[in-house]
Amino acid sequence: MSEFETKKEVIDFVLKKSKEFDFNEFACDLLVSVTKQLRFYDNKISISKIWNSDKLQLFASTVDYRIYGTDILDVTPIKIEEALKELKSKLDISPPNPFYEGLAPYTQIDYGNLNAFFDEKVEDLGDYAGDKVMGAINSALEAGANKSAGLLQFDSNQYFVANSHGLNNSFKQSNYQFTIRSFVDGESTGQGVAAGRDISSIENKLVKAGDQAGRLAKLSQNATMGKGGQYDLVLSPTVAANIFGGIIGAANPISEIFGFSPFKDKVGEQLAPDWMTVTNNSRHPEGPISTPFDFEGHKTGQTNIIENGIFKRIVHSYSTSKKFGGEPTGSTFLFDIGGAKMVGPSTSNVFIDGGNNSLDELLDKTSDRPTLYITSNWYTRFANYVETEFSSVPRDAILSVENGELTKPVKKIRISDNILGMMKRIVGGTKETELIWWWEVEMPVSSPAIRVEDVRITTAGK
Amino acid sequence: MDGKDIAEMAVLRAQELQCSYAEARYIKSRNTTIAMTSGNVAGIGSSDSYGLGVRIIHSGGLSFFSLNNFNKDLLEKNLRQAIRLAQSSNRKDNPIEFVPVKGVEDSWKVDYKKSFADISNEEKLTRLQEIDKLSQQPWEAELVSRNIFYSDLVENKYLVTSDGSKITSELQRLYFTWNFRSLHKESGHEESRYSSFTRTQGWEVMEEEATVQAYLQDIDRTTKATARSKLIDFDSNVDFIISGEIQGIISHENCGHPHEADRILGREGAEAGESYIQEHILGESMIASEELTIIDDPTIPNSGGYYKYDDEGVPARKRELIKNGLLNELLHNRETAKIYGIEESNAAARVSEYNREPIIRMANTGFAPGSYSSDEIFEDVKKGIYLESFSEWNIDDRRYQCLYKGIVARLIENGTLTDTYIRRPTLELTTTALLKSVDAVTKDGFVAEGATCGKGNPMQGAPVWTFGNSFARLRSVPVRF
Repeated sequence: MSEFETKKEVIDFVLKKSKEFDFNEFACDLLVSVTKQLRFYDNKISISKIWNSDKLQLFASTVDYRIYGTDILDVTPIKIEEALKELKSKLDISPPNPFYEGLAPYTQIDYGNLNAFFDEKVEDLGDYAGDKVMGAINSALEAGANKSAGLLQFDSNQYFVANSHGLNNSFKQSNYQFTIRSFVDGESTGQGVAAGRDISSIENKLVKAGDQAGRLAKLSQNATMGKGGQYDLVLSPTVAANIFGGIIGAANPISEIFGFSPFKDKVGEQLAPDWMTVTNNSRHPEGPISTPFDFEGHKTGQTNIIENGIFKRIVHSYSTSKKFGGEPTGSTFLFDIGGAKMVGPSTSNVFIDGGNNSLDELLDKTSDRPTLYITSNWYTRFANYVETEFSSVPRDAILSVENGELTKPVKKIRISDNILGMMKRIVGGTKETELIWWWEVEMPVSSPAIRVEDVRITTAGK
Repeated sequence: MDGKDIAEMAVLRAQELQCSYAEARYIKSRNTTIAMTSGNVAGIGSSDSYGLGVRIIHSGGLSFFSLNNFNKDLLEKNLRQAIRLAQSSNRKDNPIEFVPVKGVEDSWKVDYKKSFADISNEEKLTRLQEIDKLSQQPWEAELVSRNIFYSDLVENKYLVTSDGSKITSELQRLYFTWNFRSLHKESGHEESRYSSFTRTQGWEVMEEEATVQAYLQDIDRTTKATARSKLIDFDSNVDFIISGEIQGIISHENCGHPHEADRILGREGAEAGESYIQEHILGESMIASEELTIIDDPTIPNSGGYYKYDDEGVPARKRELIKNGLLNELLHNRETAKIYGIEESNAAARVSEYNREPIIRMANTGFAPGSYSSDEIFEDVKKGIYLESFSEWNIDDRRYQCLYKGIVARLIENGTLTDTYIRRPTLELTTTALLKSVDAVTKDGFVAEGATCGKGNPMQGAPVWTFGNSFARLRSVPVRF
C-alpha cells in the first residue's frame, strides 16, 4: 500500500491494523496542521515561516494497566505498522502504571458543530498578513514608538481522534496570536497582545495592540529607579494572566502526583476574594485551544476550579477520576510528562471572571502604600512550586499611581512574593477581561486587571 | 524520495527560482523518555521525528518552511509560497544578507560507546529504578516527592547549503534530570530542587558511578541545607564564594545571553528582549573585573552543547566573550556577522529540531580558569557566604538586573568554611556590579551542569552546559533574604 488519499484513511487504517495486535485498549490521534508566522523587528519583517506537519500519536494499555505511547511524523502504512509493532513490544515490557485506570467507555454524544472552532478565513490570511502586521507597526509609530518587534502566528489544524472503544471522529480548529513590543529607546518600551480565532476582527485587534504598545512605550520614557518595599499593585490582564492564570495549570492530579501543585488538599479552602471565579473552558468560542471533544471522546465544557474564591476542583480524565475521585471534566489529552507519554487531564483555556470595578476605580483605591500599575512581566520563577514563593520581573511600562492617576514611570523592579498569599490580598478586579496568549502566557488565559495590596517589591540597584 | 535527496532538491530548486541563498536540513531523530515519580513509572514512550527544514533568501527577504511529507509537488508549492512571503517582506532596499562561508563536505559523529538504540527500554528502566532505590535512605530531611526524567536522543542530520556545503552528522545525547522536595518536619522548612545532567554521548554515561553520585550528592547537600539552614543577618555587604553551578548560571544568563548579536540588534525584542551590551563598545568597554574571562565553547567533546559545525555550515570554535574584563566578542550567525561587518560568523547558529530556523545560541558557557587554588580563595574571607546551589532565579530582559536564590549556602568565617547553613541567601544585583565584583577564580575543579536553554518563538530548547572552575570570589556584594 502506498500513500493515503485522505487523512481519514490514515486513521481508519491505524484502527484496523491495531486490531491485529490485540491491544486491551488502543487510542490514537492524527494532527494535520499548517502554521504560519511572520516575525518582525526594527519595523521590518525579519522572517516568514510555514510549518506543514502530520503527527500521529499512538497509545495502548494492557489489562493490568501497563501503558505505552509513541508518535510518528512519517505517516505511511509501512511506518504505521512498524510503530504499532513497537507499541506492542514495548507495552509488554513496561511496568504497570499506578496512576492509570483505563480510557473512558465511549457513548455516542452530540458534540454540536464539529468545526465550530475553525474560522476558514485563516487559510487565506497568509496572503495579506504582512499588511496587517505593517498596520500594527504603523499604529505603534503613530502612538509615539520609534521601533517595534513582534510576531503574528496563525494555525489551521485538523484533528482525527479514535480509540478501541468506538470513538472515531474529527474536527477542525484554528487560532492566532499576535505580540508587538514597541521601543522609544532601549529602556522605554510598551507591549500589546491580541489572540483568538475570529479573523474578521483581526485588523482592529492588531491596530489596537500596536497603539497600546506605542502609547505605553512613550509613557515609560524617563523612568526613575524603583525602590524596594511594600506596594499595592494593579496588574494588567497580561500580568494577572501570567501570575494567577499560570498556576491554574497545576490544578490537575498529574501535577499533584509529581509534587508540582499548590492545590493539593485545598478543596473547600477560600483562596481568593468572593468575586473571583476561575474556570477551565475547553469549549469557549474564542478559546484558542477549544475543541468539541477530548482525547477520550468526552464533550468538552467548563469546569469551575475556583468558585467565588473557594477552590472547588481539579480537572480530571476518566482514569484520574476513578483513581482519585471526582468526575471527568472533558479535558483529557495524550500529553508528555517530561517527554514521556500519558493519557491524563490538563487545563486548556483558563478564564478568570471579571470583577466589579472599572480600571479607574481600581487605580483610585485608597491605600497607605504606594501603588504601581504593572503592564507586563516575564521570567516568573519559583523557589518552591507548592508554597508558591516566587519572583517575576515587570517590564515595559511600570507606572506610579497617585490620586487615581497614572503618573511617573519607574523601572528595574522585581515582584518577590508568594502567589497564594497574593491571591488572598486581591482587593478588586475590572469588569472587562482580555484574552492573553503570548510567549510568557503559554496557556491562554482571559483575565481582568487585578489589584493586589501589600506586595513585596525588591530591586537589584543601579 | 529519501531525506538527503529532497534536501538537495530543495536547494537546487531554490537556486533555479533565483533565491540568493538556500539551505535545507534533513533531520531524523529518535527520542525515548521515561518519567518516574516516587519510584513509580508514570510515563514511558518514544518519539520518531523526521522532516525537512528549508530557509531561503529571495528579494532580500528571509523565509523558512518545514515539511515531513517528502512529496516533490508539496516541496515546490511550499518553496514558491516561501518566496512569495520573502518578497512580501519588502526588503529589497534593506536586504538580509549572510557573510560567505567556504562550502565544506564532511561527515562527523559524536564519540560514544553504547548507542541508545541498542539498549532496551527494560534495561533503561532497570537502571533508573536502581538509581532511584539508592535515594531511598535516611537523609537529614525527608524527601516528600522525587521525580526522575530520563530522555535520550539519537539524531541524524544532513545539511546542504547553496554555498556548496554538504554535512552529515550523527549524535547521541542524554538528558538525566531530577527534581525533589525535601521537608524538615521539625522546623517545617521545605526546599525544592531541580537539576540536570546532560552529555552528548551514549548510554555508557548512565552506567558511570559519577552520574549516580551527581544525583545522590545533590540530595545529600540539599537535605542537609533543608534541615540545618537558619536565617543569619549580615549588617553590610559580604564576600561570596560561588560554586561552579552558580558561576555557570551567571555566565549563561548575565554574559552569554546579552552577548547574542541578534538580541543586541533587537530581533528577539518582543520576547526575550534586547541587551545591556547595546550601551557598550566592543573591544573598549570593561564590563567585568580584570580577573574575569568568560568563554563559550561548543568544541568540548561530549559536552551538552557540543557540535562540530553549526546549522549554517560554519566550523565551530571557542568564543571569548569577556576577556580579562573587556567586552571581547559577541555570539554571531552569518546574518549578524554581515550586519556587524565582520568577515565570518563564529558558528553560533543552531536549531533544536528540523522544523525550526537556526538562531544564535550558546553552547557551553563558563568562567575560564583563574590562578587561585581552592584553599587560597577562602583564605582572606573574614565573614562571607559560600553559595553552592540555587533554586529561583531570573533576570530582566536587558540581562542586567538578576536574582539567584540559594538553597545550599554555608557561612565562611575567618577563611574557613563552617557547617553553618544559611537559609536562602539571595544575590540580587546588576550584571555590572556582579561581574566587576569577581576578584578571584580558581585554577582547578571543573564542574559542568547540564541545562536546556530556551529562546525563540516558537521556543527552541538548546542543550547547553553551564560550566567552569569550581569557585569564584565576589567581593563585598549585598545579600538579601
